[in-house]
Amino acid sequence: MFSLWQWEAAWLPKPGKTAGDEYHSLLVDMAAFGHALHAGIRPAALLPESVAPMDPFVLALRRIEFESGRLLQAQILFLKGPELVSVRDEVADAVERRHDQVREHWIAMLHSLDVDTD
Amino acid sequence: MPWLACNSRRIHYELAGPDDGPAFVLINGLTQYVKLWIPFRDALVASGFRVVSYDMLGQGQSDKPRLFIEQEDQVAVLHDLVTELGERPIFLAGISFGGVIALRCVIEHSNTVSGLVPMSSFAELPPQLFRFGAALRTALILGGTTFLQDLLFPMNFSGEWLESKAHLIDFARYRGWLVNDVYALQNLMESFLNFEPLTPKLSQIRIPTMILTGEYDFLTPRPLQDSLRIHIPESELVIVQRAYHAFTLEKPELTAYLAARFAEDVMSGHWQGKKSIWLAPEEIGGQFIPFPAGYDHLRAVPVRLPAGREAQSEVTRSEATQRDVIHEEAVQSEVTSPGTRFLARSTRTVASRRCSRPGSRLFCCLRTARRRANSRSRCRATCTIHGSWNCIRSFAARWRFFRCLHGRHLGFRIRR
Repeated sequence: MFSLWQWEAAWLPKPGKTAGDEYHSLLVDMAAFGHALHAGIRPAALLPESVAPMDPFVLALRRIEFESGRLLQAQILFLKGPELVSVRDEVADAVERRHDQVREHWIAMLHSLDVDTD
Repeated sequence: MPWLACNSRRIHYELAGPDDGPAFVLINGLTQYVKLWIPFRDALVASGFRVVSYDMLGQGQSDKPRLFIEQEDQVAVLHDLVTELGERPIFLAGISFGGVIALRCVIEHSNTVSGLVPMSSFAELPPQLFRFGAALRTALILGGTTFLQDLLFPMNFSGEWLESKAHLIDFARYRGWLVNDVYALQNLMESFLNFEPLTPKLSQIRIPTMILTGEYDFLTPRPLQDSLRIHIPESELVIVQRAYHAFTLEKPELTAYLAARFAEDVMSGHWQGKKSIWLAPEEIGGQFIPFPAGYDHLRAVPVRLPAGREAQSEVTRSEATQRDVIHEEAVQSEVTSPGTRFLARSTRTVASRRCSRPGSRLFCCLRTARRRANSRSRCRATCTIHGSWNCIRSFAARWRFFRCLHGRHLGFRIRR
């Protein structure tokens, strides 16, 4: 069941011990969360196939997803950057964890709207 | 929907064809997904093969690692799939990026497969392909999946195909956008932009290899496939005429026929991988044509090879003629109707085409005979010399029949 406070709470930083110090851990966690948001939330993909492609609402949703793909590059560049090469596995774990979290909330929210996510 | 677990990842795959048949594993190109193999897969299934198609890590419905995908992970998945198929002849057919994974898999696990079909593939990234790949990656980043697809369509297909399928292009773009994620495609592209060249290891591939290349492929031009031919000992380079990069999509039945014929040749022990160069037939059942001796197959215009660069692998006309067997003279059939008497003396040529390769000529005519007979009939063939009847409905039976009788002029009858 979707609840707003869980979604809000997801924005709170949850730094792991990924980059050796708290500051870098915080940055990694924030970037991982940004990666999960931009990559995992695809509202336009929920539209039925029969929808008119030039419908303004459809265009807007696809534009949001398109911009997410571009914004994602900031997180990718940082998370794959040379500073974090030595802790690559931990960074990958942080990103996976944040993706799982965002996916769980996103699916709960869609179910609360009666949207089938299968 | 079947799933394979590999190193805590879930891989989506599909199986088709007879349980006990020899197997083909189909490996996707970059933006491909399982459903795009259906016409190719069905053609192989019709030839009696068990076919596995799957989404690679980062594609379609398989798991998509968020940040990093390594080619080693893809090879591990492919190896696990091959292992799942158990003891039987197994052939790998990979297109483009999938061909690279197939090559790596065979290099690292040399004894697991019987034959290899790299299609529009490569073993290294020369500057031209590297820059092409880097530009496509930038296109993905700046323009998204749809823009990348828009660039790939005219590289992958002929103008005629694009025109005839114009009504499907938008749907294909939509499906491609839906099943692919930008970050996952980006990870895949980066995994091969940084890959270690395989060329020095190609000589370790000691299994029959048929390299397929499109005549007009400019995304992965012919020198890349020629490099495979030069370095893989038991290989042949087959040029698919009038084809671009994605010929498994544009000409699925023809290319599946080439793959099936290769597998049949290998299983019957008649594959002759001599690093030679052939032109594929333009029609199913047609004749392989040796690339004209003395001409440079890497040029777009007919230019003679310079002195001293005569290809050791060139097929001479006499060799080709020797391999070519005329079916019309070899094959005769008598057809009876269900419940009626044998129509004595009524003969019919059941296969009117020539097959240039001895390993597959009988298969070709037997297959044609089987098709012409009612599919529900008991389709049997007999040798004019031995006179014994053999059921030829199953692939294995045709193979046994072939092993006994190959090389002879046969007449065979079909009894319904």
